[in-house]
Amino acid sequence: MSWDEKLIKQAKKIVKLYPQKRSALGPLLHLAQSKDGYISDDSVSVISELVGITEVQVKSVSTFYSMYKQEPTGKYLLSVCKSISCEINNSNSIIDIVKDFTGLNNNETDEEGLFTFEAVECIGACGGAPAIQVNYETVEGLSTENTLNLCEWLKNETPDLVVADELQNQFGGTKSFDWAIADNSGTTGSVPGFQTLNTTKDKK
Amino acid sequence: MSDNVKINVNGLQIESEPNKLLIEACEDSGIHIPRFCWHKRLDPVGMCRMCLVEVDTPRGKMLVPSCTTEVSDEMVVDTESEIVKKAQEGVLEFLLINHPLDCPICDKAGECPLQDQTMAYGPGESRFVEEKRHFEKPIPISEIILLDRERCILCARCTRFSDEISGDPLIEFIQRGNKTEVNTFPNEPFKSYFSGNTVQICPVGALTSTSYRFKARPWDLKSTRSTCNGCSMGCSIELNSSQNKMLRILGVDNEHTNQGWLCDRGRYNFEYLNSDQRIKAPLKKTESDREETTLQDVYGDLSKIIEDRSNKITFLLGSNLTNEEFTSFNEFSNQLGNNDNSIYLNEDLLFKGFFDENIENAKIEDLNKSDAIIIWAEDLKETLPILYLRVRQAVKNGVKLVVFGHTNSTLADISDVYYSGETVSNNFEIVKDISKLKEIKEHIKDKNVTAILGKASPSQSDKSIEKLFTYLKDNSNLRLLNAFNGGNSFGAFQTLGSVKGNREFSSEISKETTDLLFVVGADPVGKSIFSSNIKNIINEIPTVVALDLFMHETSELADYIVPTSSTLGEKEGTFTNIEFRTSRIDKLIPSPGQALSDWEFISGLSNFCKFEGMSESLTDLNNKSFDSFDLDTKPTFDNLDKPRNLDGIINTSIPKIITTDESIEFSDTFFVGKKLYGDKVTERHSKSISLLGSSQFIEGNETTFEKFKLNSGKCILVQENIEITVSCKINPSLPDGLIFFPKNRRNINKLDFSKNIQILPSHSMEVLNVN
Repeated sequence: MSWDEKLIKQAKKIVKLYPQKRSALGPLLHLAQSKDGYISDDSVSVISELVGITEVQVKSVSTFYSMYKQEPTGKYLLSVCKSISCEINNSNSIIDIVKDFTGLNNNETDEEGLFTFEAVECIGACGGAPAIQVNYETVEGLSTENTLNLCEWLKNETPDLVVADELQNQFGGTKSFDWAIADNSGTTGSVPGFQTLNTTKDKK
Repeated sequence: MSDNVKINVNGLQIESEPNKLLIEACEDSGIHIPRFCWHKRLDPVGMCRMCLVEVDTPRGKMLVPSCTTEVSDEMVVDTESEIVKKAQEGVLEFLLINHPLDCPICDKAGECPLQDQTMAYGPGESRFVEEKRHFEKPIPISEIILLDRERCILCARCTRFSDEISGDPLIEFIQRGNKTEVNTFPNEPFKSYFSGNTVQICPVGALTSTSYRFKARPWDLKSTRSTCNGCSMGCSIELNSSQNKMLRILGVDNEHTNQGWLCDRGRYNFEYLNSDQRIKAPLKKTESDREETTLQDVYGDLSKIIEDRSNKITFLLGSNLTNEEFTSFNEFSNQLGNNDNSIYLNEDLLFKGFFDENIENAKIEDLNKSDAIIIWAEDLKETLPILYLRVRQAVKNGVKLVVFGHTNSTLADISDVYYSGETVSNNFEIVKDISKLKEIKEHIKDKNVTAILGKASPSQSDKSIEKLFTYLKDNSNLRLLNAFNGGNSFGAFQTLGSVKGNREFSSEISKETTDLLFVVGADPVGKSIFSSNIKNIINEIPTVVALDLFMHETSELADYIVPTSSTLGEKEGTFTNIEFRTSRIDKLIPSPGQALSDWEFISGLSNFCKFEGMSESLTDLNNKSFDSFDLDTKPTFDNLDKPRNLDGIINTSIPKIITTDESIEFSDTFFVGKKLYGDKVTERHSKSISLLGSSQFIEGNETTFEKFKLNSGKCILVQENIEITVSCKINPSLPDGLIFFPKNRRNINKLDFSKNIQILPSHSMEVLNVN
């Protein structure tokens, strides 16, 4: 097994939560993703043993959901919404700017491992369209200028942690909800959590 | 029983059992609804949408998939309305978007549901001008199966089969949406004993088998229905040949036995028929070599020995012969004035069996109807694979399963009770008082129980199975399947009157008791666990005649070798399976060279010896085989060829098996058993499966291997001048201190299991890569 003891212990704890072992598959895949930033074949083998199903069955689930990454992402995962509300509000040009800046096509990661770009379906921020997520931290009401600023800031400052509120203040526009993730590990977090307006005030 | 429901389909009133699927109810009444994903033996999923029909609902007429809709009373269905036709056209147009039109080079073309249904229900013209989806053309997903993902229409038949039926889901959908493909996990091939079934049920040419690829077009095939003689399940098969070469075997849906499925050995172990290594002319041993001779010469030489009445003649028969041939040998042996006991069957694990008037012999379908199944026998998955599927099916339907160790560890996962080391000792004795085993009592007390009992290992004494049997008989309403797995062994038991096995052969036969030995379709020297003994016996008997397909370790020792036809497709006859169901074996291709059926040889020899009263034709032998059976419909050719009897006829004649009571001295540290794929001469000459049985290994649990210091994963087996390097496979279901040897694997079959075997850690640091 390629997982260390601590992680295995954590995984076994998750498995115990469910009456059927295989129900733990989703959370365990999140755990695997928090370890490597993506679901490695090694992790798939470990999980298949933990939940008692075959490796290809695990692989089948992990490839079905696009937020389980099959390859390592860059330090910053830029997910630009391409669904209807954002598209009406000019998300196409946001996408173009991000593409131009990073030089990446959809689902590509640059060589330095800094950026991964993806155009995604609705991220639930229609009220503040167009929107982008940086490591699943949402920024709403983007303008084309601010998008470029955001990208440049990320490239120059390379902050270890991005926080939705801070990004929103710096680069965002109209805001629909108070987005935040309870645990700040971003794309590598075990659960991308969303909380409704004004519930994240104590967040650092 | 609840009342049937009446439904109206296309203006016709049809009746159906309640809760039946609409597509099935229509099918039963002769109304065909096109489909891709629905298969009678798999759970419905409604994936392909081809079976859409129009049903009247309170909200008006609606299109519903008939494969996921159950019939209800007074349902009004239209399967041919304009809307249905439009839906079908639409579905086909979608399916064809990414399906390559490479029918001219596709093996499925001509028997392809997609091709046929596009013809019958398709739009006629294509509007699609874009580029189709591309994948790497066929990728091997196992040694015998290739997958062409471009052709796949994602019906999920193969993935559902491997999950629901065979229980080894090694193929699955990967990705989703437009990118969805069927695939295996990297470096984890689709290594299933039942993988060939996915090729057969694939509705397009996405899954193909290496053995049939590019060999023939379906419309050029000659075919006939026959019975597989690989084990004693007697699966119904369809043989396909072209230009007198056997090319393919398909499973036939026989409700009572295989329900359409076959194991891969049954399906692919036929290429040997076309091998150029087949013996084509009779051979006679000379001082230095062997020379070709004629049948007449062989008859002449043998008749001289036979005419001297003081000579004693013994037969050792392989269990792959037809009932008629067993009868023929029996007749011949009686003509020689032999008593019943001169015929031996080439089986290692014969025991008396549980046959008498008071024991109800189970039918295979009883597995599904009982409350509990009790298993103590050789590994079903390896020796009776389709029975293993039937047990799985029963468990899925809610039947309780109790398994006694240590052979059926593959069933441990799905069993309700698995008795391992604490209850079953390493020499296969139940060490506890059976009546005090709570778990089993709860499942069997006064319930309907079907037991599958047989010798799990040669080291098991007859008494230990008897103990379990007596307990079950006293405490439950017991029905029983005797688990003998060798080919037509049940036919042999019945037609030969009384049978003995290899164990008895090796202890009773010597040059004092035998002057002439016939070894027929058997390779005990190569395969039996008594091989060294039998080899000595064969060497000292003055004249040995081998009737066989190939030269192998036993036929090489013979003085005369007569080429014979294979029971698979080269001769006619009947076969009797584990539930005493007799079905037809049919001929499709000619035998090579001068090869002839074993009964023809015996018939010719007795003509030469001027014996009188022998059956003269196959029909006579067939009639004679079942003469004494107390049945209204005897399984004669006439009866079996009637359409209603194609699935075979059950008979109830009680056989007699003679075994010596002395148990074999076996070490407590190991037991031996068969693997599905082995080193049999027919398997060696079947190209596509010849390597599947090539790995050599032993199995044990971690503690055992630690005890023997075998942590490197490799070890050396040493016995006298034999030294074999094998890998150590960890099987956690085995008890401490017990090691399993697959006796039908190459080199391992050279070991003499009645003597001591040393297991040493491998010194070489270099670990060989053996799959």
